[in-house]
Amino acid sequence: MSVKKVKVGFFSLTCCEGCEFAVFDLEEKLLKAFDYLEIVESRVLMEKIKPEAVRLDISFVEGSVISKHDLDKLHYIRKKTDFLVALGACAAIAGINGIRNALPEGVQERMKQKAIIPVKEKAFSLSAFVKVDYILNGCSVNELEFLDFLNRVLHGVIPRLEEVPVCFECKLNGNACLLLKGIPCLGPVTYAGCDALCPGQNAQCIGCRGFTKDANFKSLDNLLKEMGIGKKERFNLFTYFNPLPKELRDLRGGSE
Amino acid sequence: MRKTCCFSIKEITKVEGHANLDVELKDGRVEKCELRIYEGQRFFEDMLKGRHFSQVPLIVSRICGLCNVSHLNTSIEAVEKAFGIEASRQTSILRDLTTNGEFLKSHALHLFFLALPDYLGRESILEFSKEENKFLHWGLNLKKAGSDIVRLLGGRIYQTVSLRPGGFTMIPKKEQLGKCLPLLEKERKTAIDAIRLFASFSEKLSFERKTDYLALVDLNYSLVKGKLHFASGKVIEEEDLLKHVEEFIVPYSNAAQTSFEGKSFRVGPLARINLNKKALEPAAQDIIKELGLSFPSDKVYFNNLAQAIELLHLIDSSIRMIKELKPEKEAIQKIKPKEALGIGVTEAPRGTLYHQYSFDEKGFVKKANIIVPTNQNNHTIETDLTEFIPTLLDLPQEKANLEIEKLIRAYDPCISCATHFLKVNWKK
Repeated sequence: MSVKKVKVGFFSLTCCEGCEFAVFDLEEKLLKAFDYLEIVESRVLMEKIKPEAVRLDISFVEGSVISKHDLDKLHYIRKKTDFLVALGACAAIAGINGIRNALPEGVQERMKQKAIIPVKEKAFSLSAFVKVDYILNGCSVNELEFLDFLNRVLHGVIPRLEEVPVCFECKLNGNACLLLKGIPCLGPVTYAGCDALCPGQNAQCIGCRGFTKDANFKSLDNLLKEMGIGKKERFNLFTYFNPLPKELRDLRGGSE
Repeated sequence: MRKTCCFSIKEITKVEGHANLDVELKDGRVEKCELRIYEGQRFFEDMLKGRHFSQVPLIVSRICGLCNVSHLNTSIEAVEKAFGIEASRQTSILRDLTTNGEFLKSHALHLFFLALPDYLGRESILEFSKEENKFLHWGLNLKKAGSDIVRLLGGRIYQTVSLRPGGFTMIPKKEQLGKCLPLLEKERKTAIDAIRLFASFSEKLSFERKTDYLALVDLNYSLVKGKLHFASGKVIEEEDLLKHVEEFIVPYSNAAQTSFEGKSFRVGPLARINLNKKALEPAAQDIIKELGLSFPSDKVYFNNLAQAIELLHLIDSSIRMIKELKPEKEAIQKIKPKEALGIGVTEAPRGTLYHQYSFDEKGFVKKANIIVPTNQNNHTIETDLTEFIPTLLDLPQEKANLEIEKLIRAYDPCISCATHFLKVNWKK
C-alpha cells in the first residue's frame, strides 16, 4: 500500500541549531519514519532552498526572532505551513536568547544601535508574531518527545501538552529531591516532559522547558532565600531561560 | 563567469548557521570578497554580565549545539583558573573523554553528511547512489561511537548536563563505560577506510595557499591543555593569546575576525596535525606514512582529510582511556569565589577556542570575552577566496559558485559560534 507522505520542513532562526541536530541524531529511528514523511526543506541537509510554492504539512522551527531577517523568514514559513511546531526553548520561550531581555534598560537600546545587521531590542519566541500550533520545549529538545509527537501526528492525533511540573517526573523516577539536599532547583515551577533529565543526574533543573502556568514562584523564592541564596543569584536563577515572573519583580537590581 | 562582475551567494548551505558571500571582480581580480554572516548577533558577552560563575558554563554552552562540550570545558577551565581550583585526575580524564566523544560526533557529521557530497559531485546525501549510501552508514556509526560517549558522560548528546566547575554531577560506572568499547573497536576499521577515502580525493578538489597555523600543542595531543604554537615559530602561554592575536570587527558581518601580526591564520584539524602530528596515536601516524601523506600541508581540502585522521586518533585514545579508567565516586569541589580574572583555552572540533572572564568578589561576571575558531578562520577564508576565485573564470557562474561553497565548507565553519559576540559599551 502506498502512503501519501507527510511533507516536513526544518528551519532555524537565531540559535545554536542543537535542536535540529538532536532530532537528526535519532538516526535509525528517524530513518524508519521516512516511510511516512518526506523532508522537503532543511538547509543543513540540502543544497537549494525550495521555492515558496511548496506547501508543507508540518514545519519545525528552532531559534528565536531577534532580527528582521528572522521575522521575514518566520512569516514566510507560516504562510506555507499547515501545522507549525516551535522546536526547543529558543523558539518556544525565547530561551537563553531571552537573557538579554533581562539586561538593564539602556543596554538593550545600545545593542540595537551597535548591531551591524539590524536586530530587535529584545529576543522573541515565535508566538509573539505568528500562530504556533504546538510546542516541543527544552534546551535541547527531547528527541524521544519529538518522536512521540511525530508518531501521534502521523496517526492523526494532536498530542496534549504535559501540564505537570518536573517534580512529578522526579517522583516517578524515584530521584532524591535536590531542594532537600540544599541545591537550588527550578523543578517545582517548570513543565515536565524531559523525564526529569537533569535532576536525575544530580543537577538542578534550570527551567528550560518553561514555567508552569500555575507556578507558586513566591513560595519557591522564599525557600531559596531560607537556603541562604542571595537576591542577585536568585534573579540569575529565575531568568536563566524565562522572563522574570512578575511576582518576583523585587529581585530585579538585587546587589547581594 | 565574467572577468568584471559582482555576484552573491545567498544562504550557503550545509554549514552550521547562516552566511552569504559577496564578491566584486574587476579584470579577473577580486576587488572585494566579503563573507557576510547575517545570523543575528547574540550578545553572549553582554548576557554574561552580572551572571553567577556557576551559571556561566551552562549559558555559554548554548553558543553552539555541535560543540557545546568544547564551550563548557573552556568555560569551566576559565572559572577554575580564576578561583584557583585544580581538577582531579579523574575529572580531567573524564573531560578529555567527553571531548573525544564530541569531536568524533562533530567530525563524522561534517565529513559524511556535509562535505562528502562535494567530493562525490552530489547535491546532498539525499542524492547518493545505492553504492554511495554505504558512506552514510560509515558516518552514522562513527557518529554513534562518539554520541554514546557524550550521552553517557554528559547526560545527553546536545547541551550536556553533568560537566561543571569542580567536577561532574554524575560519574558513570566502569561497566557502563565498557559498553562504549565494542562500537569504538568496530569503528576503528571504518575510520581507517575514511582516511583512505578522503586521501583518494586529494586530486579531485585542490587548492593550496601558504599561510600561518595556530593550535594548542601537547605531547599527548590533548585537546584541553598545552601551549599555543604558531607554525611561523612563536610559542605562547594560553593566557597570552590576546597579546598576539588581534580581534577586529568588519562592517559587513555579524561575526568578528582575527589576525596574527597583521596576517590571517588557519585553525582546526589541519592546523593541529600540521603542528602536532608526532603526538597522534601510533596507528594514525602509521597510516599517514603508509599513504605517503605529507604534513605540514597548505592544502585547504586536507582539513577534511585531517578530520578523518583525527577520527582514528580519537577512537584509539578513547579506547585507551576507557580501559584505564576505574571511576570512583567524587564530590564536586566547593568553590570560593574572589575577585579574579580567568582564561580558558582548548581545541574545539573547528579549532582554538578562547574564553576570558573577570569576576567580582562574589563571583559575578564583570566582563567576558570569547573568541571562537570560526572567527579566526573567517579572515583566512576570505583571503583564500581572493586567490581561488580568479582560477574559476572559465566556469559558468553557477558552477563557480558551487566550487566557492565547497571551499568554504572544507573549513567546517560554525556560524552559530561566530555570531555569539558583540560588545556594547555599558554606561557606568
